[in-house]
Amino acid sequence: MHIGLIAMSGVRVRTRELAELGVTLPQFVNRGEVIASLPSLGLLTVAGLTPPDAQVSYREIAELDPEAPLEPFDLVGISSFTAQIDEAYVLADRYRAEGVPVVLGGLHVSLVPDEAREHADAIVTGGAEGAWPRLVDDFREGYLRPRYNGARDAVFGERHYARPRFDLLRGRPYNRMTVQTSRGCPLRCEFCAASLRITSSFQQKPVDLAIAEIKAALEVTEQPFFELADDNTFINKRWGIEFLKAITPLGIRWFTETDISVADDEAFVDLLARSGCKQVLIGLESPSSAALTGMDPAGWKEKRADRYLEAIDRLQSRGVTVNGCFILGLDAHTPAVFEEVRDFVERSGLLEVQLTVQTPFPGTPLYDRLKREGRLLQDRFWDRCTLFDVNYRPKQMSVEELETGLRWLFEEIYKEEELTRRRRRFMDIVKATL
Amino acid sequence: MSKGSVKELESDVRSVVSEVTGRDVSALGLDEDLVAKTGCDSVTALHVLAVLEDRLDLLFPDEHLELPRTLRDLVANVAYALDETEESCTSV
Repeated sequence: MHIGLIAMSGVRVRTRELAELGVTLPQFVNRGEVIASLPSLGLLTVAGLTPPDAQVSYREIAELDPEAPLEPFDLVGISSFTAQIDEAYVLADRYRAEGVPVVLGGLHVSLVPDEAREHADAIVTGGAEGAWPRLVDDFREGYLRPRYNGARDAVFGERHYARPRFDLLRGRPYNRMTVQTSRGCPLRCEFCAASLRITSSFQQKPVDLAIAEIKAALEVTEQPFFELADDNTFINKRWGIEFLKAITPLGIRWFTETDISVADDEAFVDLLARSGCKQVLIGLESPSSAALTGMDPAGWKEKRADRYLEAIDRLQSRGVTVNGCFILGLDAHTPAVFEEVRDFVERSGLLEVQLTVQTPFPGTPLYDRLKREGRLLQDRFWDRCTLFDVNYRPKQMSVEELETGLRWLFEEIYKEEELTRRRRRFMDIVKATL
Repeated sequence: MSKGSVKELESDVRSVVSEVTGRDVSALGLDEDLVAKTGCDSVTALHVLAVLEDRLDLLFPDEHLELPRTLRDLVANVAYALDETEESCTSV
């Protein structure tokens, strides 16, 4: 049996003016390109869950050529970002037309299962753990159920866990490798469409398993930069200390996503810096607390906003750069927000900045609320879920004001003199630590 | 660190790149793709430049605050920055 696992890996901005900005201001799409260039950890995990007597091939498709001949497989599994799901459906339909059974899975499929079922012989919702091995058994017996629900708890426990098949990447030119140490996030922000939507609670991988995965990835690529595929790595600081102590001797350079509390404790930040962590991506979302009201059920981000500058300085002064993420178009945002973000970025000395527009991904509380309030520009806009295209009516400005403000802010933040100023400031920080 | 011949500069540059990126570039060809061979991302590139500035007591001009494509270009940028830094010091 030969199983083809196919990752749809390209996401393109739809709004023409923004796409053109991406050409003149490459930093503005930098983070999106990094994500798109990472291997699909989900499918490598599916491969790890596949019985060893089945042959597995891993493929990536950045842009679908609907005329290209199909690679022959006995069973096809496809995973895709929301923005490319329609291309995934086209590919699935083509395979099925040729009699090859297709399984669709991943976050989008988990959030919009009924739609996905129309293009698949079977769908997997939630994680693949607890679902894929049963599916393969059923396939061998000649019968696929329409839906397999993956485990939502204890996904890293002995019963479900399988190490991702990093060996499938051997010989490919990846500068970055990805490893997951946790799934979910207790903050549960309204807009978030990440792994918290497929878990019932925060799942933390035991440190020894995470380290073993990093070592396995190191066997197939030469000293890659590691990216932890977590929603929020350092929720549990005790686990974090154990992990940082274990990763330090590996001598690798790595990146992760976490929240601002990572800077609470100076000793923790020292440990983080010594461990080889070069950058943390933090969802600051908005420069002032007023706009963060109601973002997460506990009001955690709202309470933390007044400590942003101090936290950024504490991290960057130790050589751990902060990639600060802002969401434009929140309900509290007026057209004044664009200048506020620009001024905050200047004050903060953030080395890297990620600007996105609020995006109501299907299946999120944000999508449901905006739909309820009649503010979605259309019900189905999946190919525009790029984080840069506007898909709803903002509360305190028009769609045009949001789009125009975004373009202005992109130009302000990513223009050459600003990049140079941020680079110079960061290099001065590094030199001060030498 | 030395501030002597271009050969000596090249040796200094190789040493810093190896130290910061964790990859031995002592045998890397001068015209090979530096970023591809070191897996150097933009943040690490700035680390490399900052360490070079610190060790060789120089200041890169704004237009050189990115890692160039090859080791040869990086050595040239270092030599240029050294000349410029020296010139600005003597003219004060």
